[in-house]
Amino acid sequence: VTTPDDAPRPRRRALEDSLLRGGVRGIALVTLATLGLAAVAAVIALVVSLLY
Amino acid sequence: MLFRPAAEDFQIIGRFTGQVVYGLAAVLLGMALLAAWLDGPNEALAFLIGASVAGIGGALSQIALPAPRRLNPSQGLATVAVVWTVAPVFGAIPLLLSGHYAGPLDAYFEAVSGFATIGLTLVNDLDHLPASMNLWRHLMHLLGGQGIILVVLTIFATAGGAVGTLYTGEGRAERVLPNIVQTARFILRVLALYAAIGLPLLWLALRLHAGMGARASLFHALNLFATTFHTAGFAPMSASAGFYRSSAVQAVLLVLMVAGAFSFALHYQLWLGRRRELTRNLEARTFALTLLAVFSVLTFGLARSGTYTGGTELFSIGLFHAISAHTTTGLALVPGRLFVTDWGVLAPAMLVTAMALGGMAGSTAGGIKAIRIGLLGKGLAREVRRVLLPDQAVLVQSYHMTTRRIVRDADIRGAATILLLFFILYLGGGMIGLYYGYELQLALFESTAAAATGGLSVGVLRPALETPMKVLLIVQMLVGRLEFVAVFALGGYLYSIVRGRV
Repeated sequence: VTTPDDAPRPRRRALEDSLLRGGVRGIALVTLATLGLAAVAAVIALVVSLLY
Repeated sequence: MLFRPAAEDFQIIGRFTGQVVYGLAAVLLGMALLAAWLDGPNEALAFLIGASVAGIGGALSQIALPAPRRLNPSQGLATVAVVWTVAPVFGAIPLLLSGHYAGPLDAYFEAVSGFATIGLTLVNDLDHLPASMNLWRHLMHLLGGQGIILVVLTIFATAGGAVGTLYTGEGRAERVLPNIVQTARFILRVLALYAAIGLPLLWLALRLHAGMGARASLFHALNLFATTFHTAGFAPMSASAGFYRSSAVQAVLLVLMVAGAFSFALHYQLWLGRRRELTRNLEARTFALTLLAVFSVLTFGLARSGTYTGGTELFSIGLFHAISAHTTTGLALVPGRLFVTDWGVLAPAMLVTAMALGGMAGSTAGGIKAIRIGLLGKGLAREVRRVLLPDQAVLVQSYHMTTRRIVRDADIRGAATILLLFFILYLGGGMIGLYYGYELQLALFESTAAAATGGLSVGVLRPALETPMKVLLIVQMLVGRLEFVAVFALGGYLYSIVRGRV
């Protein structure tokens, strides 16, 4: 695995930039995952409220 | 070798522990300056005394003990356990001097709860605690969550093998990158980026939706970020997250709690753009599945209790507490006592279950961990298939976690062992609670909250709690946080002292 720390210096910056962009994307994915869980939970809560 | 340690082993453990205490002294010194600005000379003096004691302790260890050459595995594990036990002693000093704690044990309890990212509290009159003391409580979450060990990793960056030894002792089994220092740097990068995005969002939600002032919003955002991203549980106000009465604040907190419960290995995969890891990763799948299962039963319980019947209430109250418990964060929207007085039996039982299960390995979450539950589920499925298939059939079962992996008997055995140990810890604490006259439901709730680093409380924990119960909860918090192995190593050393084998 090539990482920013063991890459040659010119590539290090590029890798770190891509990791930063990836970080924003990663946070977006975690947010989406939470929203996905919340959406399923909303359906479950709706069903339960209708049952009671 | 574990049970025949030499005096040199203890010197090495003491020396490394001293270095961490040195670092803690520097942090306390910084807090003294902040306290002078935020609160005044009394609070500054409290931190200064804490910094001085820690500084002297750290200096003595460096002077008296020889420079260590290299940590072996058992020394590393024991050092981790000693650090997590000793650091709260120094962290507790300013808390004790604040006058908001009934005594030294209560202040130590609070510091252990802080460094171990538990969130159980024994503070008196939290709503009037000086701002610097409140910040310190949450800073302990940050230090403990990102790891006192992470500090150690950066301090010992040149120590080679010793770093790896400490790292594996913290219960973060999954290495993110091949090199441990790179892994530590990545963990700090994740923290920095989440802080860069999460703090402004929290500030905006508190300012615009919860109606707080600009400075108060910043103070609460800092504290709430530290507590949620490290799946900890202290809150700046006694009403916990319920204080803000804001769905926007709750939404940001939910994302941060989930992010905190994700393993750093999974974060790394997502940062590399491997989005399918979210749906294929055994640990992520297990976490989502158990969370939704817990939420489903929890909402049934809430609806059955009659306290909440509308779909919106069931969704918002149920989801926040299910995620808070499952990620072992411990923030609440309602006073903890209501869990047992107004929520019936099923809903609080689900909170206990969620805390017991916990988040993902390689995160700051505690509990049994999703990977172990997932592996045990795979093992169970394999045994069922073995019964159904002919004797000659060769069963090879795999799972995805970064790459495709084969389910090995050793993995299942390891997961089952930790599962059993956690059950003993949860139930053992519950039994002792019963001995002191608490109802089973209350005793088990509190015991699980401590051992799984859950942090929710039904009110058994209070300054007037019996001293042996406080000590028991401290032990549970430490054992649960260190996932047994480091505590066992320390136990081995202590046993050797008792038996005179040093």
